[in-house]
Amino acid sequence: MNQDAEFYIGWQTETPPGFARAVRRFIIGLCLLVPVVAALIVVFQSGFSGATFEYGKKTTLEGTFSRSPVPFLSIHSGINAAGKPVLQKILLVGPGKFGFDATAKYKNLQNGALVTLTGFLIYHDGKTGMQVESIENQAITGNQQPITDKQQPVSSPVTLRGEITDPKCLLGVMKPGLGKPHRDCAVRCIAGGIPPVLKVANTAGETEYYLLAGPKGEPINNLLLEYVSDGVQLCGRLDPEGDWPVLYVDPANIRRINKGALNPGNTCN
Amino acid sequence: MSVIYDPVHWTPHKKTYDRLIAAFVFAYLALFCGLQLLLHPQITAETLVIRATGTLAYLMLHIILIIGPLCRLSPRFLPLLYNRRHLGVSMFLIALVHGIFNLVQFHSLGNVDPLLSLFTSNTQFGSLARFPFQSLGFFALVILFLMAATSHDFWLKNLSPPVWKALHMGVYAAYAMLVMHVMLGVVQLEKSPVLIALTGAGMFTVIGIHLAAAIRQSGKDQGSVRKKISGRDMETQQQAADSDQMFSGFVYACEVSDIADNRAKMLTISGEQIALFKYGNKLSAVHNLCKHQNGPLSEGKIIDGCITCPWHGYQYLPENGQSPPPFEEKVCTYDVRVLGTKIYVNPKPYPAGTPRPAALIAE
Ligand code: FES
Repeated sequence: MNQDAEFYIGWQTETPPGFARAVRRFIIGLCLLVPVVAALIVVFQSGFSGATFEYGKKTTLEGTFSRSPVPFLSIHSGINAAGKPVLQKILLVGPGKFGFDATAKYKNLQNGALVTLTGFLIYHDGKTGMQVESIENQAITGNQQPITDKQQPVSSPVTLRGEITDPKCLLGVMKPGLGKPHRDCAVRCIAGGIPPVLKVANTAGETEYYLLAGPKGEPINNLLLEYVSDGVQLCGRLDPEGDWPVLYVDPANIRRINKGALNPGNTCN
Repeated sequence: MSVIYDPVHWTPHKKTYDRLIAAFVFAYLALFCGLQLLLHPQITAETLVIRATGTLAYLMLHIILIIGPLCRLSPRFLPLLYNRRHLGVSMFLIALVHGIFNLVQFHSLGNVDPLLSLFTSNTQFGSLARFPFQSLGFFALVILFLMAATSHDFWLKNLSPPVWKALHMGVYAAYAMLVMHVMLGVVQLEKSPVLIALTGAGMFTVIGIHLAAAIRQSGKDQGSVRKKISGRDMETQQQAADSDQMFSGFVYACEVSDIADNRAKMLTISGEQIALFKYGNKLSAVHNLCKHQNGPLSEGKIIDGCITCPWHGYQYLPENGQSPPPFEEKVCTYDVRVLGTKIYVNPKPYPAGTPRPAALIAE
C-alpha cells in the first residue's frame, strides 16, 4: 500500500510540509549549482581581443585615396628613425556590412585623390580601418602632394594557411570577429564588399593579417564566401609593404585544411 | 480548472513562484554579466547580451525538462510541475532576446534581408563541422514560441489534449536542436573541455533522469498488470458458487485492504490503464489518464468526494467519471465487483462520463 498521506493540489493555498521541503531543497540546490555553472562558463571562455571600434567618436583624417586592390587612405604618421616619413594605410569600409564602394557617392572618387575623411576608427594589432561617414575632396596644393604607392605584387609565390574573415569585424566591430559563430556575419560583410582578410598565426603565436585580392588586384569576395571561417591554404604573390600586406591569389587554388595547421613556408605547392 | 478564458489563474503559490523566477533571472544575469565584465572587460555589449541570455535560456530549459521526470520519481516535486508553465514562458522570452540579438548582430545591415541571410549565408548542411548551427537555434525558437503561445489551458481545450500534448512534446525536438546549436556553435569556437563537459553533463542529467523515471514507471506498470481469468479459474480460486454470468469478463484486481482509504490502485488489464478508487465503503474505477494532460489519476486522491488529479488538481466524480459542473471533462468508467475481500474489475470501458454504480464493500 505505502501511499503518501500528504497530497498536493496546486490551487489550494497550503502546500503539505513534505512537498514544501522537497521544493525548497530543489531551489536551494539550484541556487548553489547555477552560480558555479555561470562562473565556469565565463572563466573557461577563451576571452576577447583588445580590438577597438570607436563607434560614435568621429575622427577626421587627411590623406591620399587609393581604390585598388582595396580602398585605402594613405596618411603620413610621423618620421622613422632614419628620418623618413612613415606611411600608414587605413583600410576604408562602409557602414553596416558594406564595403566602401557600396556608398554610391564614393564610387567616382579618383584614385590618388587627396581627401579628408571623417568616420569611426577600428583598430587592432597594428592595423587600422575606418568606417567612413563623410568625405571631402581637397585641392592639391604645392606642399601637400598625393602619396604615390606601388600596387603590384612583388614577392615570389608564397603559401599561407589561416582563416578567412572580414577585417571590419576582426578589427573590433565584433568580438569574436572570427570563428564559426561569426561565420554568417563575415559572409555578409564580404558579400557586401568588405575586402576579405586572411588571419595567419605562426608557431611563435604571432599573427599577421593579409588582405586578399585576385591575381590582378580584382575583388574575389564572392569566390571566397564558401571558405569563410574554415581553415584554408592559399597560394599567391605577396605585397608585403606597409601595415596592410596584400596577398594576390587565384581562388581556384584555395584548399581547405584543418584549422591550426602550420604554415608550410614561402613556397607554393 | 477554468471554464472561462483567464490569462493567468493566479494563486498565491503562482505569485511566489513568479517572484522566484524573476529573482533567479535577474540574479543570473547580474552574476554572469558582472563576472564577464570583471574577467573579460573587452567584451562587446552585444556579445554580453547574446551569451548571457543564451546560457540562461539553455539552463532554464534543462530545469524545465527535469521537472516532469523528477515528479514521476517523487510526487513531492509536484509543486514545481504545477508552476512550470511560467518558467517555460520566461525561458522562451529570454531565448527570444538571444535570437533577436543574434539576428541583428550577425545578419542585419547587410546586402540581404536578415532572415534570408540566416538561411543563405551558410548552406553547408552536409558537413558537421561547418553545419549552419544558427538555423537549428531558429527552428528550436519556433517550437518554443508555439509552446509558449499555446501554453494556456484555453489552447489545451481548443486544440484537444492529444494535439496539444503532441505539440508540447516538441520540446524534446527543440532541446535536441539546441544541444547541436551549442555544440556546433559556440563550443566549436571555444573548444574548452570544461564547456564541452558542462554541455555533456546537462545532456546526461536530462537523459538520465528521464530514463530513471521511465524505469520506475515501467516497474509500476508491471506491478499493475492483471490477466484475465476464466470463470472456471475464478470458481477454483474463490471456492464459491458464483455464476460465470456474474463475473464474466471480470479480472481479479487486488484485496480490499491493498488500497488506502480515498486513494487508488493502478491496474493494467489488456493494455487498459485503470484507476481503482476506494472511498468509504465504496469502490469505483475510472480510466487512469486525466483529460487535462494525461496525469495519472491513480496517484490522485478523493477530495470533497471527487477524484483529484495529482498534477494540476482537475476533479472527477468517481461514480460517473464526470468533472463536477460547470466543468465538462469526462473519463471512461468501468464495472467493479467485490467478493468477500477480493476486488474484480471488468476492463471493458464505458464511454467517458457513463455513470456506473460503485461496488460496496461488505462491513
Ligand atoms: S493532468 Fe493536469 S490536472 Fe490532471
